[in-house]
Amino acid sequence: MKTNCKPFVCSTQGADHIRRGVVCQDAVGSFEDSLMNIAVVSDGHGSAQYFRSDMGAKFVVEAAIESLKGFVSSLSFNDNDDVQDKIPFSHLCSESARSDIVRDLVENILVSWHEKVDLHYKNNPFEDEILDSLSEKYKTKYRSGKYVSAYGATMIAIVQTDYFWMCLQIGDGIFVKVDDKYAITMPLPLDDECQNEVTTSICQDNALSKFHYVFGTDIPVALYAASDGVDDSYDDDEMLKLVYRGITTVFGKGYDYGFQEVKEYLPVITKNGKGDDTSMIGIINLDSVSDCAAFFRNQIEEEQQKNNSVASIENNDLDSLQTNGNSLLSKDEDSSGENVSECN
Amino acid sequence: MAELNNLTPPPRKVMTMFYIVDTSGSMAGRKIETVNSALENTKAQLDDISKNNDDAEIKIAMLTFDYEPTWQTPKPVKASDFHANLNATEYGLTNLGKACIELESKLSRSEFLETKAGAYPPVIILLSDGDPTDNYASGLEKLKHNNWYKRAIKVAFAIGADANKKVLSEFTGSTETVIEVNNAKVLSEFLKNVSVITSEFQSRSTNVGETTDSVKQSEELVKETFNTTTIDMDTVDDAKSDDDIFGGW
Repeated sequence: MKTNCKPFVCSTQGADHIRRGVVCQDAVGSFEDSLMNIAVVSDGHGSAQYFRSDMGAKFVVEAAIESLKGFVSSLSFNDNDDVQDKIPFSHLCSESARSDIVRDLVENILVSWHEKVDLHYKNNPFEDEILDSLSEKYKTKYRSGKYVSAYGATMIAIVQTDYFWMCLQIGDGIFVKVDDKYAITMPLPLDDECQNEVTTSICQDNALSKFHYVFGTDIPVALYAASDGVDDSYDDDEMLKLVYRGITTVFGKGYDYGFQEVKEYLPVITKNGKGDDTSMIGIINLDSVSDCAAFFRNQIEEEQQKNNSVASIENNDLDSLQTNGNSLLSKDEDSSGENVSECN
Repeated sequence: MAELNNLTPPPRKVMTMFYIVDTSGSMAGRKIETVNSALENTKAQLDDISKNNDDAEIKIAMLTFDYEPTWQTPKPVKASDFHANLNATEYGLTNLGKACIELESKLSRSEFLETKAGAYPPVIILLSDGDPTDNYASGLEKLKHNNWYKRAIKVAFAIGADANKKVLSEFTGSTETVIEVNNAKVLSEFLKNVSVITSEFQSRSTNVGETTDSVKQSEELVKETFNTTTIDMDTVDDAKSDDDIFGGW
């Protein structure tokens, strides 16, 4: 590849899952070769009726990587190539043609996932003991042979080549892009069907229509995605953007350093946040991440200096009040304190 | 790993401090002024605890009650965004029962305790100087069935000699968690210290669960407040001799 990019994947069992003795239901995986980088995260559903969602998530990762590898290999990036049975890249760039091409890709992922689930179920049929512990609805459903739901999971898959990047998503979790102007955006809007503990799923009969994707031909500094264990631990998107700014900043010190930082930070997120399984994937552009990281580091230092100076002024105000024995801080005095801090 | 901790905002749950303040006519003047100033003086410390706490962010919600309960904070706010600028009304009514019902309606994940990362059980501090004038018992009974209320740290301030300490102890669940205050200095110091000590405990408590007795825990925290609050008694005595300044509490 001309662009010097590298994927990373990281996953940790949720603090709440550890406490309750529930296995990690997230799965992650990556692939890289001379043509492409791929990173995939899948979050198996947590409710008791989805008791094989950890396996379902693992199969999602395998199916997505296999299908994306085949997809990129099926593209012809040079219009002059005389290669039959390949899709000209220009078609993928055409909005009208792209939706059909991506639809075929998603269908391949779904077929592959169902094959893996079917095979696993054939070799490992549900035990009566487990079925007896489920609600009547799911007991009946699974006994009638509709077992796929037990493997339900979400998916976010990112693929990047010298010519394009793309993210495919079904279900919750978040995709984040740091572009070449160092802007941090979330290009895939939150699916309205994914609220609170409800999510769309690869196990749905109409899963094909539930997929969303975003495609670009620019060269980002970084592409990230995470299971909802990350975004559910922060109150809003602005805080999340600060998280990804920090992550990009540590990758500026080198891939290995950044990866180690992320690996050790995920347990902090799940411990202090939602407590769910927490996984993050990304593709880092090693050529541009250092400059971007330096820009972000300056931003952070300026913000910290500003905060320190505001805190110092507030403490001085408080000390002054206490020294004067004045316990009554009038609204006017409070306002004047804030004005001073703004002037500084 | 240290750097990402410094470069990113911490993922945190939220612990909400609920101040439930009697604003009936008898609270007018020095009492309500003292509550305002004490809370204004406290918010910087709460903000500091919040910023330095990896476990939880502290937010403040304030409900006042006289004839009707009124939220002074339409939703919980950061300590730095909180302003105490209360006025007592001209009404003589102290409808605590209505306040209990209103508080109960907001002690819910779909209301004031709605956060993505989750909420710690709150701290509830009640301040009153009189007798309830409504059927407080039915409102309180409803509140007592709320699971967040059950797990909350609860402390009450009986302001002045006319405060009904029995009712306040029914609210908190113990006579040990009702702090009697008879002058501005004591109210100011204790309100500040109770706020700091309870919020510090509750925003770090991972051990407060269904099985933990929140009333006993509240008693411990009030004891700690008494142990750590040092008031210059000369100042208090001076104040007692000058009832005009302290409104004859």
